[in-house]
Amino acid sequence: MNLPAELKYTKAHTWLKIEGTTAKIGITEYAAEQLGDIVFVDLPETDSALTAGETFTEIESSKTAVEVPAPVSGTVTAVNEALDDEPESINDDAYAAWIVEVELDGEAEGLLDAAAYAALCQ
Amino acid sequence: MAQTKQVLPLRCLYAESASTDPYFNLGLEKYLFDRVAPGERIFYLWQNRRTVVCGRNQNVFRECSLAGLEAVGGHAARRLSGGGAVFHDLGNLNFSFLSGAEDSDTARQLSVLLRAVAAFGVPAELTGRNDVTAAGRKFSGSAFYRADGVSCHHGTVMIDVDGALLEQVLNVSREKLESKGVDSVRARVVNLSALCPAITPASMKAALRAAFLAEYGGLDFAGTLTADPEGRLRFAGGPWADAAAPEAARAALAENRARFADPAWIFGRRFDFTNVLSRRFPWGGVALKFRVEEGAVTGAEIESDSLLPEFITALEQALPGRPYRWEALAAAVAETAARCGGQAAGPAEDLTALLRDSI
Repeated sequence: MNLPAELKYTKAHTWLKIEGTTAKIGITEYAAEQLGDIVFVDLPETDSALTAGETFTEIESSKTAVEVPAPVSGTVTAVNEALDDEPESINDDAYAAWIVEVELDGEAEGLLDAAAYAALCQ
Repeated sequence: MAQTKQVLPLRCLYAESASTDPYFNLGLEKYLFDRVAPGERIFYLWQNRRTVVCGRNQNVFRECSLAGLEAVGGHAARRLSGGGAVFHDLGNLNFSFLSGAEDSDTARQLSVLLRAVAAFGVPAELTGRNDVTAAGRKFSGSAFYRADGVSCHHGTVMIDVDGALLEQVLNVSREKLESKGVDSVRARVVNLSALCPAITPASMKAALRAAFLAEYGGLDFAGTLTADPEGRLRFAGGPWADAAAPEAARAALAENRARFADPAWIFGRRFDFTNVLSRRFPWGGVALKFRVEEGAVTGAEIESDSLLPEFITALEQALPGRPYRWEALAAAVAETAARCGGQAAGPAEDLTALLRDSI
């Protein structure tokens, strides 16, 4: 399983790339494989608030539609609008296809490192 | 998403709705979805009166003719699952399987359908992506939704659907409407009653219940929940938490119904799009170019070679800010024409017809 060591993960199958007080967030390759061909990503709006544990995006694949809970709280500073036209880029490279970038509200809690996440997916 | 071994059979619960209100029925499904507990599997059967149900991420304006739907007393609705638009009437029966995500097995759940039609002597098979076909044509399609570890697999069973009406409301050309969102896939369909006259919505309901129990075991459902035509719930047996608190159930259902009936949910999702409506009239050709954001017109441009430039310019200014619904836009046309004098009356009528036919 491809799990970049520099990223943090959650048991809801999201990844975070934290740099200072901002984080880019996406879904893991494992999650993308489980979903199958992704056909739509419902992006939040820039400047909207993210609340840890509450849905921040909804992803539709050829198999199902899932709500994805936010791994952290914060404010959306950018969304990956390229996903509007090419939602399947998440299937191609889940770690390049970030969904949102957020300014974090304080310290992110309860995140997993690659090894802990890998154990969870066994 | 890890697989867990199910040792004990799941407790099987059954729900059915005698209401034909699509918003109520979708709301009841969500009510059940929010309450299905680990170790439980709920099987829910329901029917909607004439309704186009769009997938969660579809642009409703691209999927159906709203005026056409309205003209036959139909409703537009949006469900929580993905996929394409479908037409329901009382010749269609809807099923839902609700359980923990790890307990959901699409093929096995669809085998309940195969068993039910086999009881009528109709051979059927699973084809493509979760379609169920008989005689090479589709009579059932499925869609899926997951949240908080719970899975909803629901779908249609075409028994005696008005095919002409289906074509009329779903088969619309929207080639000039540019929008993101998920497209529908068209399929050759068949009504089960055409293959076996003994299949009616009522007989199919009974067959599905029996097939569910045969597939998943158990003498009968551990509990049942029925909604009467007015949407009042009756709980029997089982673990229904709201059985002793009908007030709470009623309030939750009213809230869910309001959510599905909310125009902002049906029409106003953040699908910004542009559409061009054009037609040639005796008095000139017109192309109405709309920009629509969250269900409201944010920009209007009108190209016309007509001899009524004041009317056209005034109309361009009157359209932004209105909901992108033909009635609201027709009101703008009528108001503008009234300000421009008698010569605009005829063109205003023609434009109203264009809006009604095209949105």
